[in-house]
Amino acid sequence: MPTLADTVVTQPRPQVLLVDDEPRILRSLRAALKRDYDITTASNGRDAQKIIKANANLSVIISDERMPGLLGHELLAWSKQHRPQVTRILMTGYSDLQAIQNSINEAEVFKYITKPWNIGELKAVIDDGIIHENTHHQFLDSDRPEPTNECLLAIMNRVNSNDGIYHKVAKSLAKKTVMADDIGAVFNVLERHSNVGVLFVDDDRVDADTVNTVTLIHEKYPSVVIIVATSAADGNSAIKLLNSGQIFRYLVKPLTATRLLPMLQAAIKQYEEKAAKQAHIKQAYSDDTGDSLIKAYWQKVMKLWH
Amino acid sequence: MKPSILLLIYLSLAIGGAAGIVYYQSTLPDTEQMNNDVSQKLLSIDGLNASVGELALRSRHHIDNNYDNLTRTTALLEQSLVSLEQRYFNPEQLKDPMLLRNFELLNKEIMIQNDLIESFKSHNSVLRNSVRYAPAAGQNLMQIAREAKLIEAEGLYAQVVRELLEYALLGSSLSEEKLKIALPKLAEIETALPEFAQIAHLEFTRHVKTVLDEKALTDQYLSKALLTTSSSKIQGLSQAWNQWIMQQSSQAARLDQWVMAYIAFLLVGLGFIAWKLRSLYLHLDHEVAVQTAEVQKAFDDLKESESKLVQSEKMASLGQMVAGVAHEINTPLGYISSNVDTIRLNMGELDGILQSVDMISQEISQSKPNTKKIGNIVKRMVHVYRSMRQRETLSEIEDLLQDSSYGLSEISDLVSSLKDFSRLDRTSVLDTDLHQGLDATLKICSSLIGQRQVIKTYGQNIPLIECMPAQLNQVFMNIITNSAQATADDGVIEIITRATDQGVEIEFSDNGSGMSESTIKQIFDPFFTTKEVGEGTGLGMSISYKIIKSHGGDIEVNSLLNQGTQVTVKLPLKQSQASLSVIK
Repeated sequence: MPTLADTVVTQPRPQVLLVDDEPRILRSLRAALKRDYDITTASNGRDAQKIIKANANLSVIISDERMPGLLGHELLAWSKQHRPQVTRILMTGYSDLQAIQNSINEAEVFKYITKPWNIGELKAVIDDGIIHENTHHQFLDSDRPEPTNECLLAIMNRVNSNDGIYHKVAKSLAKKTVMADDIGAVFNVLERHSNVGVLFVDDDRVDADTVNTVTLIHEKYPSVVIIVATSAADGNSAIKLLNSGQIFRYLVKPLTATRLLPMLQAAIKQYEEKAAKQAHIKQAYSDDTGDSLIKAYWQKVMKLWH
Repeated sequence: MKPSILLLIYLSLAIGGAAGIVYYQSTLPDTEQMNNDVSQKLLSIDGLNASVGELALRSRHHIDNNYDNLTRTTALLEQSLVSLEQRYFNPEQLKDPMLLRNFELLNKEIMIQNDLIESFKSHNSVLRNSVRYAPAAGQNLMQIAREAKLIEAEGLYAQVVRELLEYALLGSSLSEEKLKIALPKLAEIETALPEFAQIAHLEFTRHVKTVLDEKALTDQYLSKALLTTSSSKIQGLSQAWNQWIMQQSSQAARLDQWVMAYIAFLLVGLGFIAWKLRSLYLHLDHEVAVQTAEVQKAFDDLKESESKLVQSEKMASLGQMVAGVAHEINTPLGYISSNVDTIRLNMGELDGILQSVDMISQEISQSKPNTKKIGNIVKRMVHVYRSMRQRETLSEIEDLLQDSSYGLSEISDLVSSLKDFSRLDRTSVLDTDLHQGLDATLKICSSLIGQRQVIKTYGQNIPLIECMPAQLNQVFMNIITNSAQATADDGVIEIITRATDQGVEIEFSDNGSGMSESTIKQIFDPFFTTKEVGEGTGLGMSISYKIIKSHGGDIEVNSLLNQGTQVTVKLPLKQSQASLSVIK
């Protein structure tokens, strides 16, 4: 399989930090990844924090969840604060719902990988994460008009019982809100409004349909920040929503306005940052004509995508 | 409308109706007795009234010499009237004005009649007196006139006496005329009489005059008295009375109708209530049957769900166990599979060297080996080898293989622990080493135990005990799981085993959050749990208790809040026959 390192030979190899309390896992991962990345390892959260602080060029952290001392999602949340640009990946053999929720909502991990892992897929995720941090997927839907600062809030509500809360929150946010009852309506909204920044999916049964919808929306409109709320929380679907739909938050009902408001504010902020970054990159891309790094990444992305 | 309101209205009507009838009846006189009494009295009054006339006539014609009968009769008549008035005919008793007026008329008539009778009596007395004495006086005067040779006077006296008696007794008007003519004649003869006879003459004359006067008066009073209409008044009263009685009885008849209507109303109401009660009873019967069926069903459901819950608790522990074991297996499996991939990649490099070796051997086997070519191949081979050595590929392969075989042994340990834990190979009671079960359970719970320190203080010479190992392991897992969940990540769990006189004692203790006294009291209750919804069924300790009890053992819990918990399981060496059947 071609790797990033093959494509961009001139560039220094991306630096990856592996954190796990099991030395055999560290050894195994190092052996598998060392050809393509510069590997650093830590056997606990404290050591990992020191490495993260010391290493400004770190690209990716892959951490186990269950470790003595600091838990994986705690370490990644800390890392998000101190090195927000580093791609965070959680790797665990134990998919308990709380850990998954924490890793999405607190650590904002890029992907959640379950043990045992497939080395090829792991490498693809790492590369994807590096691109994710350095470019932006918004880049892909360039046929969409420029996002403006005026972000629109779309709510796909299959339940209709929380309408009151949404209206209240939308009022406090002073953002225009569009309600959509089903998938068709959501796509309709996204087609018509270029500036939909946040999509809130309220669905009691998060099933394969929901996962597919969210995945589709994310692939077609990667700039949209997606939040999913459900009353039937389930670890596996949460993992799928994160890994293929890149959801920003995974909420377990009941919802309240006070709980929802900061969440949506964070989502809007996320969208605005994404939009700003995208505008910047687009500018850089149009200035650059030749084999720029971004162009290389772009090709890489296309390769990975198809 | 609600049935209770209807019933209330009905009862009000029933009571009101009864009160109305009683009141109405109280306003009605007892007509029958009254009628008898009054009719009898009126009849006797009529009789007395007739007697009064008869007696008066008897007195008049001197048949009765005294007025005793007459006086008694009139008195009786008056008394009867008075008593009648007092008993019935007063305005307080009787509201009928017509009847009262009739009675009043009768009363007045009788009064008048009695007054006339009184007058008759007094005049008749005077008349009788004169009639009695006049003939004697006349005889006397006739004697005197005969002696004085006054024949004319003697004849006059005799005529007068004769006419007087005739007039007085027969009332002949001719005699009256004759008497009236004789009176001046008597006055004429007075002077002719001897002096001593003049007083007798005057007395005689006075008697004659008295008879003349009194006779007329007496007759007048008597006829007046006899002519009074008291009899017809009595009849009138009697008629009026009869009419009134009829009227009363028609009212009584109306009351009877009302009473009948009322009884009918009561009967209808009672019938309706009876019907209603019957249907209510039938409905209740039905309801009770339905409820009983429901209760029976609920009971059956409960029994079923109890066994389901016991099963689901087993499944939940099993699920927890499987999840834990999966994690434990996934970790070695993860690096083993990754290592295999990496080794395969590394083997690709080794493959190059082996190919070079093959090429060299081919070259050497030829008659004229090209040494230069061989040199090049060897050079390349050495280059590859050196680069491999530089990257420590070979030692890495060695390490990875070593790690993999360690991982495989881990997995195999886990699998054998699973086997030890579940003991599916033996489903009967057997002599078991508890330590084996404890170790297997600890291994299986290792992902839950995590970093917690486990101190095993196993006693020496612990005998094998007769038990169902899988069941006991379930108990151990419940207790160890609770300990792990109650303690912090760096908590301590200690397991001590010791042999006792009766059998074996296993003590689990932890330094976790402990329990309050109320929690300890409920710990063996089914469905009691302090865990979050979905984290526990609340049946773990309840089932553990059942298992230990069925083994003829005992389980004790001691705990201090925020200090820790100690669970002691005591098991006998051998099972009784009874226990054996329960366990199986």
